Amino acid sequence: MAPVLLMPLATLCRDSKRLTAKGGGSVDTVTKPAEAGTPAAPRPEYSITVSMADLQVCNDDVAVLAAYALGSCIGVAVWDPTNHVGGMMHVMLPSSQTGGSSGWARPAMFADTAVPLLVGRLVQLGCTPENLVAKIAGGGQLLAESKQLAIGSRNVTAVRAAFATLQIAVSGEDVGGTKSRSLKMHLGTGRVVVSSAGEETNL
Amino acid sequence: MISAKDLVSRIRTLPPLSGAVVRLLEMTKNEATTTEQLERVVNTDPSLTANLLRVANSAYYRGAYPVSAARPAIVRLGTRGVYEIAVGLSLRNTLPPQIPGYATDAASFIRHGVAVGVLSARLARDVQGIDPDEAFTMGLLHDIGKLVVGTFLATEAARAGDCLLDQNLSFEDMEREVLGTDHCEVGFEVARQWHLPEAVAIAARWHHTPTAAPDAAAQRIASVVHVADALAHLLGHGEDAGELRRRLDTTVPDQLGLREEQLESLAGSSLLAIQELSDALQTTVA
Repeated sequence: MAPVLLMPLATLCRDSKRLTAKGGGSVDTVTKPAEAGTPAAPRPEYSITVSMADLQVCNDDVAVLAAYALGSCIGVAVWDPTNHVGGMMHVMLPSSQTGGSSGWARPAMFADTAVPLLVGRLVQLGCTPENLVAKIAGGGQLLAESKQLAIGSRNVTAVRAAFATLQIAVSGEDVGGTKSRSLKMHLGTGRVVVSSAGEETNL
Repeated sequence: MISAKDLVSRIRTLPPLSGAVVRLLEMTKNEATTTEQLERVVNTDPSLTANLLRVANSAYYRGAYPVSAARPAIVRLGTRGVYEIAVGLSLRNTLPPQIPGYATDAASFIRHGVAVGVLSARLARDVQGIDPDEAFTMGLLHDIGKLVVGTFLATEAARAGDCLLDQNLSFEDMEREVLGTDHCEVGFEVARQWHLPEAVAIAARWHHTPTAAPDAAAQRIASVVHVADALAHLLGHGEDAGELRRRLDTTVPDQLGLREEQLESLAGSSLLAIQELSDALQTTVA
């Protein structure tokens, strides 16, 4: 069994409760209109915001996962094209060693713990690690980057390393520079869009 | 370019901070202040009372049981907590829904101010010579000059946009280029007008250029807010025109004796406080 399945899931991720409450496809129960027998009217898209140091997974075709104002943080979008299940996280810091056992530390905050956690949750929803497509955006820096505030580039390195460990390729990146970005992923199509200063780019 | 006369008249149009806030700040500086004294001031402001109860019952502060009166809320939040919410609310009540010229709105402005306030207050624990009670206010109000400068910038928006195309120009450089002054100089005047503590005026004036502050004490104050501001922008606490195009004086963290791990730990440990406090201030009870 893949080690990712052994990740402790007692985390601050509030995904299942939130998705059930939204009335869309819940994490635990997949209910798609097409399976009910009669063709249903297409449901409108709705957006789920992934706030700083949090992650969300979802198996609803019409959901859009979004992370805003990324700065030095990294938005990570992971999708399985075979079942349209995906997840997003808003990673804040490179290493869980920074938090240690402090009360404020949570796994979704740090690149090294957030990546395996997200992949583990997607596997729980029926994804296969080798099918997963990962795309990342963010990791910005200030005009004069000093070694004390190189969080952005350290985040990029840490996220790439965490995916490399799980042998998942990062197939799209928009990182670095002095841009602030937002990241969106449409679960029905796997389309990932980065926006910055009013301009949108498909990743 | 804007004239000094235009600026002064614009500053005069800003609504003043509430009297209760000014009194609360004096009280927090006095160690002998009792809960009863705080309660008397809080009770003069029904909106402040309602919002203190909300914050005291929020996830961040929540105790074993809900509180429904000013006294237990004050006990739970502590003197400094009461003051932070009071000054945050009065800033909130001063803000227009949009801040023209900075492509930002009240929600982002509050989120950024709260982030810099919380980070400054935590940094003050590690830096000598900073009053931690004032550090939050220094951070929360460091950008007050933008409330005035923004309206002038909006009328010069085209030129401002051209200036920002130059990737190496910081947002403050652009303000000086277009207006002949910046939100720091203007913020200093606003702090005077509002009779805010000297440290708050210093932080507003020098937070982008801390090593240019007139003396060692002022440099320390400005440096703390400079680092907190850089960290808040970097992490994306509140969006603003110019995004990450801000100059960090790279000598400042070293002078304060701050290491990378300390700053990252500070960023992580402050997150919940920033989220809770800015959420509480976004949806205030009238």
